Amino acid sequence: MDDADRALLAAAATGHLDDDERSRLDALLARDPAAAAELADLRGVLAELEPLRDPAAAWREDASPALGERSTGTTTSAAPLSQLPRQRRPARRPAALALAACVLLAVGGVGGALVRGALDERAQPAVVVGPPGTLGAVEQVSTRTSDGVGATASVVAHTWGTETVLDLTGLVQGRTYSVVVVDQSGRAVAAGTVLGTGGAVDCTMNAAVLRTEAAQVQVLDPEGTAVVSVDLPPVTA
Amino acid sequence: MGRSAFDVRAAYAEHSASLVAFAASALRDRTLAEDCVQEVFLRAWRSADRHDPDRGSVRTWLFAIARNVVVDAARARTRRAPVVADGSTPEQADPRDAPAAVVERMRLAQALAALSPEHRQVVVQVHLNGRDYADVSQETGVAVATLRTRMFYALKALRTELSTVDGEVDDGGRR
Repeated sequence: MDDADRALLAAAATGHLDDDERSRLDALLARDPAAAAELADLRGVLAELEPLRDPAAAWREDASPALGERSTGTTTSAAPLSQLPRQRRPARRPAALALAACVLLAVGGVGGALVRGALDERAQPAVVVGPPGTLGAVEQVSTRTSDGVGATASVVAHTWGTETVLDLTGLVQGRTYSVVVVDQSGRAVAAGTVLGTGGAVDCTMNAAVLRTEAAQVQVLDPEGTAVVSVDLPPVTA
Repeated sequence: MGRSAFDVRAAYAEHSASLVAFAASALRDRTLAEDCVQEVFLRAWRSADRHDPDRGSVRTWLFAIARNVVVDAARARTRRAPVVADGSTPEQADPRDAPAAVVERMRLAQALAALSPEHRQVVVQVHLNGRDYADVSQETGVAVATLRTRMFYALKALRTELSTVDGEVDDGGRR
């Protein structure tokens, strides 16, 4: 295995292959059994880093104020490792963020989980029904949203994780929102991101958390504040 | 190392940005993280006489202190009632701020901090921030192929680091 192969495996692990590279990857995996193990190992490390993909936990090495200068607001000239426009966030807007997080209004009106039949592959009504956690059944759940945001949500349990179906309104146009599924240990697993449109956003997201382990679904704004929160009923069956 | 040998300003200039990133990743609160790093350097200055440079670098020592400070901050935060709009008590704190979740992110962030800056950069930008290699290449001037190879070696290094730090943070950062 040479560096070109390693580069190919890294790009495959992070999901950045084009069609030609996919063919090269297939050829590599076919001729070198160790490559598949390497790829699995790389993907394992990336999966382990999932909690750090929470925007609020973003790794950011900004220039730090010199000792004793924080109160004056002057800063050193040390260059950051790297900084992205979308990483530049105000240090903290204490009251505003705290209040935004807390002024979550109950909406939805669905008391408790209601599990409905899903559609099968032929778009025919399926007979998959059951208590929360039933594989393939659509589980409608109650949502809490911040002021100005509307949401309805359902989740679907799968063997590979939890699918989240969201109908959102009130997301600010052009802002990036993250959807996370929080498991019972408090680990937030990214399900995907959406851009606010100013109108309705209907989206389906997937997270590598089993429904039995999932405790919450949240939609986070770029500052990491939850604008939609869903407490998932525990799976008891 | 005595206080005279521990150059707190030089250490702050060299390591504080990484320490803030580490603490902020763990705590999900940059302002609290900055407070923690101030505390780290205060504790380091006070205990400089007890630091033995033969047992590890200044960076390793500072991160060891930081683990304790971050865990203390996470526990203190859970004891404080959050401010709410109507004065009521919220039903449930964010589970991501539970001390166990902080310790888990701290374990991951510590492994990230141990990488070389180049390796850390590609993992942060491509995987954590979700950027394309081409985008990072354009910004940094480093070829896409090089960035991908760096990603490979960075992930291998992370695998090793994660195995190493498992034992260090099992006790909440106290060694």
